[in-house]
Amino acid sequence: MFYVPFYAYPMGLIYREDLANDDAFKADFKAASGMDFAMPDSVESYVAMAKAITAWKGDELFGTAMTGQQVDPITMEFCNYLYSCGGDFYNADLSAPAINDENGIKAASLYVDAINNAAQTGAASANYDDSIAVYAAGNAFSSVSFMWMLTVVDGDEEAAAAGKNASTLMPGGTGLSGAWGWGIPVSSPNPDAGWEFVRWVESPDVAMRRAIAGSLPTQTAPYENPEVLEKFPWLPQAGEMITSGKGLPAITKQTQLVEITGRRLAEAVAGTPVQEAMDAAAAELAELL
Amino acid sequence: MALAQPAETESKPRAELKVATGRSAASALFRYGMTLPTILALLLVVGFPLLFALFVSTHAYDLTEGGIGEFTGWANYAKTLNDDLFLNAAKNTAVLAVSVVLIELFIALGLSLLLNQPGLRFRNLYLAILLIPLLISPIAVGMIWRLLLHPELGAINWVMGLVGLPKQEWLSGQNTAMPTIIGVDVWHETSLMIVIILAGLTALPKDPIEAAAVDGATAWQTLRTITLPLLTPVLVVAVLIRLIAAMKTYDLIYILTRGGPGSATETISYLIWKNAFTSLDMGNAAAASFLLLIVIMCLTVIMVRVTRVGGEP
Repeated sequence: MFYVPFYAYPMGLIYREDLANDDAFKADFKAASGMDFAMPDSVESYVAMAKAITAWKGDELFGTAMTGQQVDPITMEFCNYLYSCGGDFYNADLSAPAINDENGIKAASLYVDAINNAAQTGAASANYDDSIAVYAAGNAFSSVSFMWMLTVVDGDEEAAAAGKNASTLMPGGTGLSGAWGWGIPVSSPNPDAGWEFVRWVESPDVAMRRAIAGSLPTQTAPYENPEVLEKFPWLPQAGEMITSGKGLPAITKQTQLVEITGRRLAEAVAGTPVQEAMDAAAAELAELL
Repeated sequence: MALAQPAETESKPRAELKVATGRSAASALFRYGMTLPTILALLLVVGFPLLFALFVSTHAYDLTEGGIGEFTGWANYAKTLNDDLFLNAAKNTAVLAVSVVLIELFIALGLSLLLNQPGLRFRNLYLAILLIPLLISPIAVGMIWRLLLHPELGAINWVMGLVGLPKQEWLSGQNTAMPTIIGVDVWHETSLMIVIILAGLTALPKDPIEAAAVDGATAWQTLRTITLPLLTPVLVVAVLIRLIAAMKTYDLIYILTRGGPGSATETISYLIWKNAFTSLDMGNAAAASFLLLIVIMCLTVIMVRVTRVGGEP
């Protein structure tokens, strides 16, 4: 058996719902930036909004809390920008890199712009804990993050942002969607026992119990279960993110892809021209095929 | 009888020699027997991994492509030596190692001289405080400093804000990340240098220093012309021990920056880990490991020679 998904990891936009619905906040935002406040529907409008909030509020409230640390955090976050700009790592038949095409360059440019001009101080070295800590402390309006981060923030009663949040799709519509899965190695001495376990743990009853305990389900039934929805009201958005999201390219050397992208993108964040960095990334990605 | 006497006297030493030789052989056998388990253990845990790594370094071995592939000779070494990332990591490693060793040497020497002052009160208390960082694991040190250096929520930027200084991007700035790591390493490792230098100072002969005092030498003259020359072998050993350890710095980089921003703080050890466990390229990782090993072995040979010269009467 190759893969049976058991825990979904969709990414989307977490944001401060209280501020987004606050007329005074919106009015002050317009007075400060000259822009009407509206939830963004594209990566460009998201970055523009985030930059405007940071320019207006400064250290008090950053437009976005970002994760620029190599290699997983920066690459996972960038995937959301890339996919929502219509880009991808490779072309459709996985025969050539596409990360340095028009959409890839646009996504990378917006990412670099956001991390340098809209994100919290030190975002270039921030990991998931760092960025969500800034968000939970009430110092950021939004964060492109994993959905389970919402539980982290809302579950911390001392967090300034607890209970004030909502989630939505990544502006532009396509976020990163991944999942952990069960597998049985070919070298397993008893694959039948492994398969029996997987059948049990993924049976509807056990899967439902796991969803109630907090596991982000990979089956449809928990998304319609009142008990699960009452406990995790943001679950429908998570489901939407899973179905609209896109995973990493299905190549054997995915870890290398993540490393190359993270390293080259970090160089762009540090000042290397975006086109140069993405061309270099494309050259290395080509060697993985 | 007369003839028999010499024969008897000749045979006695021979017999004693035989017994002595037998004892010596038994003694040697005992010695080798006692050290054999250690030698076997070293062969198992050091010799075998080294030989295996050498074998791997001369073969194509990508974990995503199954087992060990074909023999490639020195190709992995050539690829590593022509790799911009490796050369950058080598430069970073050199900058980090030389910087931390020099800074730690001066701080440790100064503190050791202060702690070695005759009649100093609370010496053990000061020493205990100074040794605390040495007792903390590098991973814990990294975690502690990562929290302290957090740009938005860390104590250091908060204190700087109290006195009107701007927030610093300690670990994410191109120009601040490496100096910050050097600072954290100095905080952590100076204690070790203090232990070595203070031990050396304590063991110095008192007579020349007392004679210099009688002759009216100033403290600076005594330090420059007597203490430091006598202490030189200890200082060289301390520098080499720290240099060897600093060349292998990995844990602080992993916790604090993951080699970033870009590749600004990527050291050879971190690059080896990345090659092995992110890129899954064991052949290149092994080749890079051996190149680092060669440098470290050269430093070790120098240290052993210095130690022997310093130990000669």
